[in-house]
Amino acid sequence: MKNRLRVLRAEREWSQADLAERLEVSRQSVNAIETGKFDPSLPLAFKLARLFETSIEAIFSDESQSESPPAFPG
Amino acid sequence: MNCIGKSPAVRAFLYRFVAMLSANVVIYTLTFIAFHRFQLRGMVAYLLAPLPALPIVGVLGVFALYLKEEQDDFQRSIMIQSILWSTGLLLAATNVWGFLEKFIDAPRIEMLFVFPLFCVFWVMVAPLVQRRYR
Repeated sequence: MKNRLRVLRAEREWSQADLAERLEVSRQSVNAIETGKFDPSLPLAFKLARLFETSIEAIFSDESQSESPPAFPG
Repeated sequence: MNCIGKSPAVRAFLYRFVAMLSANVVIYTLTFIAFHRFQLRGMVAYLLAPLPALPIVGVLGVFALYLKEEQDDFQRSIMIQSILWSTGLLLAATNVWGFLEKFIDAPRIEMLFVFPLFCVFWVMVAPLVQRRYR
């Protein structure tokens, strides 16, 4: 799953460790989510959305949907 | 684990894990001495033999408690992967060795070493699983 975590974090000038501390997870977890190696659980996704004062959809995007949008019948 | 000293769940896990391993060593040694010295047979032997297995069940409980208490999904996932990999390695290794023992007279390995072997695999595998995400 693609995400804008690195950008959002950079805008606030937070390090991975800063974000990890705010989320109460390990820095390794933040790194794994940022690099797309690990998808966060729904509660953590909500926590991220609250922290960045945005919606979950604004942070995460489903790669399969963004690459091939569903075709709707005319 | 990466968050040693930070996550209360990891600290509790390590404390319990070491306690269970220590209990395992003590109970194993006492049971071994009892079997060896008193040449136990029959019902007494059947009653005494499960004793060293109790801390092994305890170790599984320690893993389960960690998975329940850890709030960090990613660390939980690392632990699950480590347990699965070490269990897989243990099953594969004992199976391979079983064939070697049966057909080419490889040295016999006591089944008593299965649990220590699992611990060795887990200690080796856990850092490797961690490395995948660095």
